[in-house]
Amino acid sequence: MSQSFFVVGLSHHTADVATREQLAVGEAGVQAETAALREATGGREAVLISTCNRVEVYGVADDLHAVTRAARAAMEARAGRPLGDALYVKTEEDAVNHAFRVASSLDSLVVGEPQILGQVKEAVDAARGAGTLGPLLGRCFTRAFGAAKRVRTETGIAEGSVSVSSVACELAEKIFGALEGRRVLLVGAGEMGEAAAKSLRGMGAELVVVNRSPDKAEALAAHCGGVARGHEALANELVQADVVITSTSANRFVLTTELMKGVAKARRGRPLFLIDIAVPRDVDPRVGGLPGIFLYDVDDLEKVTAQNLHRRKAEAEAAEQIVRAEVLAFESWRKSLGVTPTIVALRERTGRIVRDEIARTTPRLRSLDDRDQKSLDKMADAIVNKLLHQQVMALKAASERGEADALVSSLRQLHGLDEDDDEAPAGAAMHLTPAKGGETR
Amino acid sequence: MLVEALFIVCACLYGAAAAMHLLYVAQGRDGLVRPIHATTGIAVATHAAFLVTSWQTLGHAPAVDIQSALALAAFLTEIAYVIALLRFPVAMLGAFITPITLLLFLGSAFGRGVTDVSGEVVQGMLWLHIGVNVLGITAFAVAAGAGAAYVVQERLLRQKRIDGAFRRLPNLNALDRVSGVALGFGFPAYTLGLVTGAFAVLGSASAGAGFSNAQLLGVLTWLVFAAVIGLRMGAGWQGRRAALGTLVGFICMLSVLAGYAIGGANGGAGV
Repeated sequence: MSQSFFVVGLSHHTADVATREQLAVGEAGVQAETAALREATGGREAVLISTCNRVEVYGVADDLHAVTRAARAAMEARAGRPLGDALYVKTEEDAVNHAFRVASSLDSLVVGEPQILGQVKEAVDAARGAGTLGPLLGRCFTRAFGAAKRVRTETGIAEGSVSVSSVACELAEKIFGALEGRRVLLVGAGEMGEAAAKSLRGMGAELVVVNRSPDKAEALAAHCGGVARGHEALANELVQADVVITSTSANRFVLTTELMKGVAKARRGRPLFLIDIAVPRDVDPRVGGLPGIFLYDVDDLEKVTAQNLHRRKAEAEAAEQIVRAEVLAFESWRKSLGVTPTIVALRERTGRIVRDEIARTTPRLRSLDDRDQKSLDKMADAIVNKLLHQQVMALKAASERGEADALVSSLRQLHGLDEDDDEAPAGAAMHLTPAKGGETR
Repeated sequence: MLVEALFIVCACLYGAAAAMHLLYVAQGRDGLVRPIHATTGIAVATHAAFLVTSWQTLGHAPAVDIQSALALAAFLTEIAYVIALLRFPVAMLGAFITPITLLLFLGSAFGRGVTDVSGEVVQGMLWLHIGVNVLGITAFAVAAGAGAAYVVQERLLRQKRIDGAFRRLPNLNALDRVSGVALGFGFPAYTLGLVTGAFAVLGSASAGAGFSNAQLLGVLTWLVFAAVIGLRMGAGWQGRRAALGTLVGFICMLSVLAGYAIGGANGGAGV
């Protein structure tokens, strides 16, 4: 029975977060859950990917219909209810294509996001640890990782930030370089401002929080890993800071032109990156014209994220072509598995015949030294290769077309391979040298 | 013959490297990165071969006149760029530095021959004068390249055109630092060059004729760079102002070099 690929799962495309939550498996439980799923479904191999945006089981099975049905049942049992159209089932080339697309971040909520590849690798490692990663899935994901790498290096799919916070970080880096030791001043307590400040803090910057309410400043500083200052320290902190994020609920400008002229003078030309995330704006737009001050408001940042998203989507077309080519290469390899045992058996049988004849004849030849023997061995190999070349090519071409079965059967019959193959494993569709962890090399 | 051939090949390679740099910054074709590095490397190697061959042909180091000084300065400018690449995150600054290198190199082919000064000027002074001026030119070329890149990058940031070239150019802080460090190296060297040049002029037979236009422009160049450095240190000049000041100084310096290249060793007509 031939072995088939499948994937059963749900993602942000088909299910809401509440449904995904019900099926999500924590990092600590993935290995055990993978083993349990393989057991419950009766498949040969299994990999479980569980992220905030998808829960999917990839597998290899003899009886595709039965196993995918069992996988669906297992997932619905975990959710405690029928999942209907939220669950999708893909098989064979569609399943392989899906795996490659997921690893390449083409199926992600934000196309080009970098986390998914690491998450898929962790899932494969967990499957390896659970003993559910076999040669087929192993090879599939290895090739998927290669495709993902090609997509990232050959296309611009991962270029450009796609959130306000990350755009702010990107711009700050373009002004200051590395942000370690740089000073970020957060004025106000808005959510987006807090997110941007946290991102900058995460890149090594120091954070100072200024708020009209000392309690709020303290709480926010503690939450974001910074220090709090009273509102009276604002002017002084503006002189010290490298990046200022304003996110207050004030109805008028907090950073006026008069205030910032004095700040710019005191800064003596040191660059200042001002991010005004508030609506209505906290910073007088004329401040952006002062020397050394770069002002970006929320519209500017969102325009940048929209541009970056648009560009990523444009790059996705090139990425899809790369994935398509890699999937075809993998499928070609998979199809060739069906004919590999026959090719190996043909070579062995023909080689054995040629060598037997040479062995019978050489004792009658006088003064045959080692060099001559080596020449005869080479000749034997050449005869085998040339005799079988057309047949091997025909077999491989037929496997590409999916029409190899009849040819394999005829060749095995004509060459008596099944008589010789007494020790071949029954129903073996693969003839792979298993490497460590079940991946093929 | 070989010298001329090497000159042409080297100039073409620098031209190609400069064009590829600019194309990469403008259009961001990743396939250009390796050819850029390869072409620049081959150009520098060819330049080294040119200098060595010139040395052998002339029978002395190719640094006794303005033309050979320019050729040497061009070589050192590209080497200084490579050193800056190792020290600062300024990949693709070559888009600004390599065209300057090419300009200096082409300038080395322009103008008259050496005026025989052996009877009038202490030979050691001439060597020192040219040597430190070559270092000064090199450092100012790097500072100017970084300054030009700063002006472009800052403009893109202010106009909020942060796609394309903005992504590929170095960050503003790195550009400002490279410019500042290069000025720090170049100014003392140039000052010494000015002093030794003054000695050479005063000690020569044409001392009574006063200073030439190029020489006066050289003094003006020194004043511009002195102002930039002074304002950087004293008034906290950074970024755009410092970059523009550096570019003005470098343009003055190019005028000096052009004056010498066209007018000969004395820099043309005196005042």
